[in-house]
Amino acid sequence: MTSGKWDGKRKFAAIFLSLLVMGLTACGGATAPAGSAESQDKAATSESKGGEATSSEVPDVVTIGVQTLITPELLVRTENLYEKYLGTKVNLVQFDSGADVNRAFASGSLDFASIGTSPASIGISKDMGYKVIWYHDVIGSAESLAVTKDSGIESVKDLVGKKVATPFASTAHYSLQNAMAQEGVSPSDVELLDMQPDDIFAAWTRGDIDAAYVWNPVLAELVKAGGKLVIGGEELSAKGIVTADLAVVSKTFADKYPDVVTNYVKAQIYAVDLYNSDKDKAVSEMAETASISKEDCMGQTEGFIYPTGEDQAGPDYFGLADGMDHPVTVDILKSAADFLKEQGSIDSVPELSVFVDSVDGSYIEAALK
Amino acid sequence: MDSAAKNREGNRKLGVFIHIGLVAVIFAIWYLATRGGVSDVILPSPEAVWNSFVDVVTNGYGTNKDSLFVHLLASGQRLGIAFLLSIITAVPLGLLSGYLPLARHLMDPIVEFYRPIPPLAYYTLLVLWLGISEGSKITLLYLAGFAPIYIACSSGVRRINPDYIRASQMLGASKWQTFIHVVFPAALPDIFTGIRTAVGVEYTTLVAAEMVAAKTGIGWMVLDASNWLRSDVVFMGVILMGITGILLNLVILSIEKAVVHWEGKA
Repeated sequence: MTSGKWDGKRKFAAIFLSLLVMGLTACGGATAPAGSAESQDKAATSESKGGEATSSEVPDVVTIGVQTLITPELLVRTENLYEKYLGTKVNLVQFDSGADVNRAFASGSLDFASIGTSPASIGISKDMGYKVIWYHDVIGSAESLAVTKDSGIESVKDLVGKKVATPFASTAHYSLQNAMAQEGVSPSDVELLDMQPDDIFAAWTRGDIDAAYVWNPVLAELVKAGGKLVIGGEELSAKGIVTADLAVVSKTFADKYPDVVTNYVKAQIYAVDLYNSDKDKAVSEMAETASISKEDCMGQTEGFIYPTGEDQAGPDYFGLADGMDHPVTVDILKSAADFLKEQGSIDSVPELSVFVDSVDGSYIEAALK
Repeated sequence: MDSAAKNREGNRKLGVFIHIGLVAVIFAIWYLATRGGVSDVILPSPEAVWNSFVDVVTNGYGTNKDSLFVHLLASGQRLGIAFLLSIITAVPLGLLSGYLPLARHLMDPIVEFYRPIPPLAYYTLLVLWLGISEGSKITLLYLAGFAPIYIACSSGVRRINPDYIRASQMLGASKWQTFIHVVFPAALPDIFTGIRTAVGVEYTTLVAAEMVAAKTGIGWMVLDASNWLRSDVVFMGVILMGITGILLNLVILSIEKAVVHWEGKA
């Protein structure tokens, strides 16, 4: 969430061009939705040997898309554990939004990535070829609607006629749309502006906007600048609107290298366990990688829930609740996609089975063994 | 019809034939590529792109479901205002800098400094100074268009045959009269080249200008659609921008032909 929007657009341009080239060269062939070039090469050779990829195989390099989210995943990066756990070279690529992650997956540039529930539901609807394997966090008050002192906004209903900024296609945008829908506020009655977090801070300081639905660390800055919180992830999840940051893996990659995926999850479990056992040490390490102060980092962790591996194997995440034939994560993603379709943001939502195939808790179970 | 004219006519016909054939071949490759099971995010089919065009024309696009016309108009307005501003300021300043060395020494360093900077680099500053409304967007487009016109005008004046100027001065014309009756008409072809370049540069900057806090505009539509992986809308927007770009260029070329009718006939 640094000044990356410019990078993002450049990435978009580069990816757009490569999409064109790919589309033309791949004419007649099936798409290869994911897997870095190297890993695909290797996969191809192993296929030619008879198609039996032994699970002990490891690709030459693994590409992981990361975002600066205040989660224990930062610990894995601070301690350089990705290469140690995955047993191969790891290429970390920084992204600023889930929309950028989706574009990168479309071009087949990523093996793993961190992405919010809302962009993940878009990617699954558009068959980006990835599946959800882990929750980095569940979003609480860390994403909230902040209003300026002079705006006179007391509740979501007061947003009518006001300028409200949020990064479009993000979990924050999704939460804002839901909060408005619940209060019966039509999107056309509010002046919704698409802005990246750092632009939101600048526009807020200049007095250009009345409110913003955004995440930390910018949210914390808005509060410091006199902002008041009206509604946030905590209230919305109590009403059944759950937003979270997830880990996804390319399906073709996971089929070839299941052990590498399990080891990725093991690294995440190590990090969340470290966080829970020594919060003080963990937070100072997280602050280091996120380039914020330890105090700020401590405050921002309070806006998230970090479920442990055991939690995630249970019925609240990837496990089966009584009488259910699929985990609740499937419903969270499907209902997000349905809502975005209702809002006219995406054009179609696939059947439930597509979402069932895109949520896989087996790696957590394997990692916990 | 003499043989040269016949030749020209033949070349024109051949050109039109090749253009139409080229478009048909590109469409055929496009269509066949999408038959092969390519994901519609990577390459949407021509039908999907056409359907998205019909959908945006009838149902609109964006939070407020603005029709395609509204988006085109929003972008057109930004471009138009910036374009007029850049002509009004850059033409006189450019001519002046070509005519008077003092003016050139004052302005050249500034223009030469900011001209090569990618507009995105200073757009953040414009947003900080001018806010998120139309001001910053139009200023970005204006700055993008100013430099090409200014430079074309300045060099156009300096390329004028000095004999023209000396002759008019010998005939007793004042500096001002020389400027209006000799320098300006002589520099017109270069002015138009600058204007056409400026339109092109402003047009390519449009998507960048609509990146921050826009909710209408053809550039914004493309950016937003890519956030939702709506590649059909992205393709539609890109094709539309290409076509309007060609049309814009044709309009300016025909104005140029009417105004600078003597160019190439001397």
